[in-house]
Amino acid sequence: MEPAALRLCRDIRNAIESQKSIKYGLQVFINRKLRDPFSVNLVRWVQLIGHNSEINRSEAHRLTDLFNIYQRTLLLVIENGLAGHSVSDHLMQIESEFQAICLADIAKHTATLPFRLQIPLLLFILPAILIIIIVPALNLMAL
Amino acid sequence: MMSFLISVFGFLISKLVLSRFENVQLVHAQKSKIFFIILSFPFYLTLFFKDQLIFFMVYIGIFVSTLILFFLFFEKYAFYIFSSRKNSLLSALIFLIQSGNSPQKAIHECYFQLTEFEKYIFQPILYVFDENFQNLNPRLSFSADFAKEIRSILLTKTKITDQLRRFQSSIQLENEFRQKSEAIYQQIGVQMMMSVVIYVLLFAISWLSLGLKQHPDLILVSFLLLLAGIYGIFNIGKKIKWNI
Repeated sequence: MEPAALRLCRDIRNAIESQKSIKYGLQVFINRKLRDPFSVNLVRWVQLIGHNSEINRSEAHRLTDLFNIYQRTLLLVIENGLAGHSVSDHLMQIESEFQAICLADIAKHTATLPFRLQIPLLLFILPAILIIIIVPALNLMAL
Repeated sequence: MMSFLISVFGFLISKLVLSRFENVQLVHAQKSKIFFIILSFPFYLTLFFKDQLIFFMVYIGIFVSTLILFFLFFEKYAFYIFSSRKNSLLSALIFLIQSGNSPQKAIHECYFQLTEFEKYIFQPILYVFDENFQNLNPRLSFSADFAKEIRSILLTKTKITDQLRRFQSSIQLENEFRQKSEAIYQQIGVQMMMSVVIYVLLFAISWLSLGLKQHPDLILVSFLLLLAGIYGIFNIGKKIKWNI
């Protein structure tokens, strides 16, 4: 249920806090075998980043176009971390940002849900009720 | 002979239903025996009221439908209990570890404060320190995933509570979504039930007074629309689109 980008952020923070590498955190995330587009593209991105050739790097750069701005920010931080920079503070900030975005998404989703749930009532159930009463009534009136 | 066969079948089906409930700890073994005596009592009466077999058949029907419903809804019910309990379980675990208990002891303390049915659901957490954890055959996959997550955190042995808190915040996010959605679904569910009741009443009126029986195609279309509406209500908004 939790968005994959937030999951990834947490896995990497867990890895760093348990004295393990960012690569280990990435591996933990990949082992989850999630099937959403972000996770699938991320697996490919990690494979490309892993091979240190220029072609793979440029392909990995092109692949980042498939991610949205939030995901790209996270990947940039991960890339910096893989290059040896300290990223734990950045990850902490990103995690709390992501958490806030998720709460906003939930609020937006639940605000629109009552209206969306009226659609089947109006489009299907109401006509179902009207059909069984109006058509036979019109038939009787015609007779 | 017929009444004897019905009573034997009744005994068997009531025992089967109770043993199912007993296996998943929904009914305690001692209570199960008492329930069996009470519930199977009517089957003794088949020997005396041989001309009232239809009532016993209906009684057996209740057991059969309970058994079918059990298979259909048990996992959903278990997941509901699991979802509503895991956050507090994790809170207790964090609290116990923070107050100086070892993770092993904290896990045991948390587990033994659960009810019997909750123990059945959360059983995999008892084995998080077991070397053969991966080879265990879990009863419920969601519970096994939860235990796997806790195991991966507890085995790191550094900053356990921070990691557990992080895991808890992901659970809280889930709960936030579930609780807010559930409240809306309950409101719409009531509307839907009212609509179905109105549908049934109007159907009966139309059938009896307006000659609906002469329009089978109309009944079919209306019924399909009703089913599509119910399906839509149950499926819209189950998944959230995240921006991240």
